[in-house]
Amino acid sequence: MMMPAIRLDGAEAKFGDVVAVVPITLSIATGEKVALLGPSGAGKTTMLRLIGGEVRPSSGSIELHGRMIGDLAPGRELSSLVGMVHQQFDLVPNLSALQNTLAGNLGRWSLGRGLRSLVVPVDRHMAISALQRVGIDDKSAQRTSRLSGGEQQRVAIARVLVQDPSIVLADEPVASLDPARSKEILGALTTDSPDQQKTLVASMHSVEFARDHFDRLIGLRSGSLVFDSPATDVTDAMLDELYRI
Amino acid sequence: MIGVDAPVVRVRDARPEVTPYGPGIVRYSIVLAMILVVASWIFIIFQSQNQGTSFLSIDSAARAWNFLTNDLLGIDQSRTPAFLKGSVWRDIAPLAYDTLLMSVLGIGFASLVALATFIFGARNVMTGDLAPYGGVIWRLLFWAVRGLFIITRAVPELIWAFLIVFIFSPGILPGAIALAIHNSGVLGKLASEIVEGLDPRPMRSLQSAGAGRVQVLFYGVLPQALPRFITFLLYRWEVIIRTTIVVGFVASGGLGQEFRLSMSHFHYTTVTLILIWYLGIVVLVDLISAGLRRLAR
Amino acid sequence: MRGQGLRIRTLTTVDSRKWLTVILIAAFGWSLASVKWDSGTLHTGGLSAVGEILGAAFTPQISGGVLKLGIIEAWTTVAYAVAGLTVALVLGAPIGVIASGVLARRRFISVINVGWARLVLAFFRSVHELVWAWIFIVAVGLSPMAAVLAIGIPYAGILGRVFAELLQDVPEEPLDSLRSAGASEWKVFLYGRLPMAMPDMLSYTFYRLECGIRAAAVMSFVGLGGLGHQVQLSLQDLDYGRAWTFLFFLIALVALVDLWSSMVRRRVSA
Repeated sequence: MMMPAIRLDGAEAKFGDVVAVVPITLSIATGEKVALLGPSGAGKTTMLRLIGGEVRPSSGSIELHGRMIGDLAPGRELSSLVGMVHQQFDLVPNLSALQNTLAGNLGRWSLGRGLRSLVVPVDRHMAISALQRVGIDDKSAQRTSRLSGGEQQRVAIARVLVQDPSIVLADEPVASLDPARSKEILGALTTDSPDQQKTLVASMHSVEFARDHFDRLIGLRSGSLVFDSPATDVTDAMLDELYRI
Repeated sequence: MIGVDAPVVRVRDARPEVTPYGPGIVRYSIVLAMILVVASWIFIIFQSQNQGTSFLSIDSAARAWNFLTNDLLGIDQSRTPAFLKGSVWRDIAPLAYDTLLMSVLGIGFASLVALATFIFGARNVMTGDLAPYGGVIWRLLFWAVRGLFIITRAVPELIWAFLIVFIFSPGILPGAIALAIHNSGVLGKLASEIVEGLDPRPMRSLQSAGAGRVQVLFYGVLPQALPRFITFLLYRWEVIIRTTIVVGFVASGGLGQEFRLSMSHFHYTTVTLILIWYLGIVVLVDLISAGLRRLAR
Repeated sequence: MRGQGLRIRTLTTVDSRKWLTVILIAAFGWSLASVKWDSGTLHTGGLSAVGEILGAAFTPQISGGVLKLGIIEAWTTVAYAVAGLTVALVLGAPIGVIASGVLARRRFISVINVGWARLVLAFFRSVHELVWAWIFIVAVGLSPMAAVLAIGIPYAGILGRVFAELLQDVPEEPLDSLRSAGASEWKVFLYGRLPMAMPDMLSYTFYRLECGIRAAAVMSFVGLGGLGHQVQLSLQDLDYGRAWTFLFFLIALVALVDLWSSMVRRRVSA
């Protein structure tokens, strides 16, 4: 069997005494598109942050492409493997959309190059093409704080496109976009180059959309796994159980 | 919260989409700032050369070192330095007390003036959103108060002291009044800006419930604005205590007067002692202010 | 239960605010009581001096010679202030960045660096600029550089402390997001902290320029030129009208800086 892109082995996340994610064991293959479903507070975001190395597991372990996440050097190494689109977009409000997109290069760039790029943008074409793929290249010179919510979300996605990690994590990546645009964005996130398929793990609030566009659905509730099955096998009964009040 | 001085008052823009000035203003400002910096330095360097003394040289470094060790610290002097004599410490102590007193008196007067006027300097209450039918008189009052704030604030304490000594006999009071005139403008402007930055909804709902200006002031404005005003007041005290010595040069009170006398009589070790007392009360005020600010929270 | 906890907390803040008010009023009362209020408080003729001084404000001298002198002295004042502020920025900004401790990787080194940087800044700003100027001039001699350094040093202390706090106070989420894109702390600083703190840093620097103009104006007291010098000379001649002319120059300078700063601030913070 091929080495999985992501492997969680009894990984658990606790904040103080509160367990956000109970020990979970699962593997995600390279190129797989996985949607995390579940009511709010189910632990979707925490699970993404576990995989992204932003939260250290209180027990268990996480491997990315066969390497323990704690062994990966933060910065250059980790950022080439995994990138994350946060739900609040978390962009720097007073930089231009272009600069915020170019910040996806910071793991690769030397400090000097980063400094230079603030004055005269380096690798400009790269950012413009990323912004083009999310459809807002006309806004590249705008200050990010002046963009609408949906536009900011697309800038955050463009940054991950520039970062170009092999695993993309996304917290509600299409929450503020209309369905047609959502499909386009999702396509941009996964089919980067034809020979190398990206792995995508995204939390989703729209069940229909997830069923149509993802390979595999994982249901989370109160931090534990409710189901984990191919999208085609997920029944309405399983979903009702997941979202029941 | 911001340090030592008047904090950065964040301008709350009701309509973030509208930018009053184009992007050009930033570019022109950068160019203007650069021209100012270059021209200023050329002027300063030119003037220094005319003056004859080269300030940044080995020679002047030697003189500075000599002044520090020989004069201020009194090394190599036959006389005992003043700061090693208990009697001189005791002589200076009441002056430090007077300085502290002068600063409290000054900020007290300044607060009274600011509290009596700040509401008339707040644009939103006087002429803006909260006064859609504000008359000409209110408008005039607003500009008069704002003008007064600018005039009192623009002139530093020391220059006010130059004027005040024509009126009052030397002592703590003229110094305190000089401090108060300048700082009433500083505090008044700050307090007005607090009011302009307040959440307008509580005030508007009071108005629509039939409250007049005075009621809006007491129920809508003061409860929101006073705690922040007091915090600023305490920050301002930290600045004022540092200035009190300077006002004393002219108004003849507290440590400032003694500093001036000791300097002109070349009693440099006494100057050192005064500086020690000065640093002492500066640190003391910083600590008291930090403690009281915690109470205000 | 939650509501009860809330009520107890608000009660204590109200209580502590009451105490604070009492303390402040008592302190002011103590200072008032310590002043000797009698007939000697005012100079003989002090009251008429009030009238003369205030009256002169409406009749400033506006002859061509005085105005020309005013412009020259206003420029001297601006030059001292701007040069002093550049010293303050060059000196204060780097120390402020160190004092903020945002670049440090190892905890132990960071504590030491933050410690000395804060101490240096506190020392710089503990002494008033005019006191610095006087000491410099007595130590080295009369030179405009004394005024520039005297303004530069305490202002470096203040700018450094304020910059440090502003750099610490930026929201963390965008920084985390940059870190997850692979940015080191230096790059997080350049791309996140600095741009986010910049509007407030800028507006505080403008405010300091305004203060610098006032500080430069009183450098006359230790023998240097500027608007304060002319005010002093006019007052020695008891020429209040002339003094007001120069005071109005100073007021106009401060108002101009204020206007400029509010224009830039509105543009940058929008």
